[in-house]
Amino acid sequence: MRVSLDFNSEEPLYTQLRNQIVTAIGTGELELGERLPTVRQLAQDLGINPMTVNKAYAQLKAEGFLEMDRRRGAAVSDGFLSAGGGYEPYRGKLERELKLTICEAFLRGMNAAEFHELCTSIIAGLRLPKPLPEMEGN
Amino acid sequence: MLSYVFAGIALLTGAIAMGTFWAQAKPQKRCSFGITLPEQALIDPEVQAATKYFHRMMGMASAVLLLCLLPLFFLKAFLSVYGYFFFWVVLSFVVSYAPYGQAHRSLKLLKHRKGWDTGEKRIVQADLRASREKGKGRLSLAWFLFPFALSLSLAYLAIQDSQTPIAISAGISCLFSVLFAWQAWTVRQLQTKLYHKESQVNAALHRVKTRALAKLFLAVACFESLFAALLYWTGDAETGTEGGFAAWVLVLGVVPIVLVLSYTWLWFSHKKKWLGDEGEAELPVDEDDLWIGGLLYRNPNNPAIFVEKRFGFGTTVNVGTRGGRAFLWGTLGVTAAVILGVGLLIGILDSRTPQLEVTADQKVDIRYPLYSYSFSLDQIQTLTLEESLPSGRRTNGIATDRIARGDFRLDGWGRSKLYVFKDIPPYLVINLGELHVVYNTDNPQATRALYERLKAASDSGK
Repeated sequence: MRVSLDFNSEEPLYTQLRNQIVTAIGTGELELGERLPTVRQLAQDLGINPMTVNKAYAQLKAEGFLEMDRRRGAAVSDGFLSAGGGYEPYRGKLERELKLTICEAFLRGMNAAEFHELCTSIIAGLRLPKPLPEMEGN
Repeated sequence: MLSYVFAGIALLTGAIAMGTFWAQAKPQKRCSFGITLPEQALIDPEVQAATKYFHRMMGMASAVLLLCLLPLFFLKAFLSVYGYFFFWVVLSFVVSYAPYGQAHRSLKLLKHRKGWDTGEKRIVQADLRASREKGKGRLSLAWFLFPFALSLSLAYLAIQDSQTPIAISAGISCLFSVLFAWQAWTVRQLQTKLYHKESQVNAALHRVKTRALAKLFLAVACFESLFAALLYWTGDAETGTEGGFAAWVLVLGVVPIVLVLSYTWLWFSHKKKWLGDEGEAELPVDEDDLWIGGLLYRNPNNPAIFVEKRFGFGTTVNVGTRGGRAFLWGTLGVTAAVILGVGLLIGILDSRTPQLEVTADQKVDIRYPLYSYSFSLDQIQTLTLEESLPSGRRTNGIATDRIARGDFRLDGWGRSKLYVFKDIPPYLVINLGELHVVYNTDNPQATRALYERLKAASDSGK
């Protein structure tokens, strides 16, 4: 699974990294329970400051996408599935971001049908993870 | 003789410098003179003209360097061969870089003017799975304890036996073991490259590369210490001849080259096996701006001190980091200090004349900043005045075109201590049985007078 960070982007590097990992979990590129490289390893391979990777991992952990283990390092977690009763707490954020995205798309000339079609194709490409078997009972 | 040795080494280093820059004209991964170009640009008339001009300039640079080598032979009476040699080595780098630097700058301008796009700039990429696997299967650094321990024991044994050249050789190989272990450690820190879209291919190739490189460094370190061991056990100092010595030097030069070639072959065959005919994955990332003059890597965003070279193998420093700059300046500083220090030492030794005196307690005392020696008059078996000396070689001492001082092994005489001005006979030869002491001054009359005085003192003692 490849990550690309753009130094020219206005988006901070740690946000870019966080977003790409979330996308990879959603599209099934990263599986639940899969281990990620350590902060040092990834910072070394990307050639960026370890603090940047650390910040992205910390955010992913807070959001329930990763779990950190002192011995095993970071691993993809299913904590986001059960975190705080589904997506309801996230709904407000989603609405804000979607509103901005739709406004921008429509201002640039996209219509509702095209937007729906795009959303459908993206949703069709997702391979959402299922909870880990040993965690199902929790 | 010394001029020829220095000229040979200078030519070799010059050829390596010229060859390195010459190779930059040939596009590697669409990169010429450190500038990445799109496919169509490689046949652009202006690029071809720049390449042609570079070849012409390199021809001229070679001619200039060869001409600059002549003073080593014809002006040696006026200049220090040692100093001029280092001047020439630095000159060879500057002169062979000049055409490359010019071609680099003109292609950079051309690329900008023509708007050639060769990929995204300032983008970094990594393969999460390959990155996670990078520590697996790496060679333990404990392996380097074997060459280190062997060299250390040899150095100890050689010091016990007073075999200075072997002790120096073992000491150097000790240092090499540490240096190569450190190199193997830096290889572990290298970035995992993206060769393919499959993570397992990237992980496997990274593992092959780092293991093979670490094994190469281990093999060279082992070879260095085994070489010192062979030198010790065959007792080179006792049986060595001029031909034997040349064979040793040949082995010392050839084996590391064979090891490097084996590594290159191994790496390319693995790459072919994993990547097949697909070749390396095209990653549209343009890193030209990170390489100053196409040579020095400077990326302040990358905290890594050592990064993989763009071409060739091994690592280079990132001068964008404080550690990288410290390493670069430190290496240059230490090199300059060693060269200046040795130069100064040679200068001092060259300018001082050894003093031979007979002391009141019937001892002959030869005083010199290094290699001082004294012996009793009773030890003298024969005392002669020779017009020529047999040939031989240095075991621990200094030999320039003008002087030879220290421990030597002369054909037919064996162990000898020389304190002579070459080509100013006669030479005072004192045979002490196991050792010959040879002395003269730069004035033949004074040497003869000294011979008479010493002979009288020796005869009166008997």
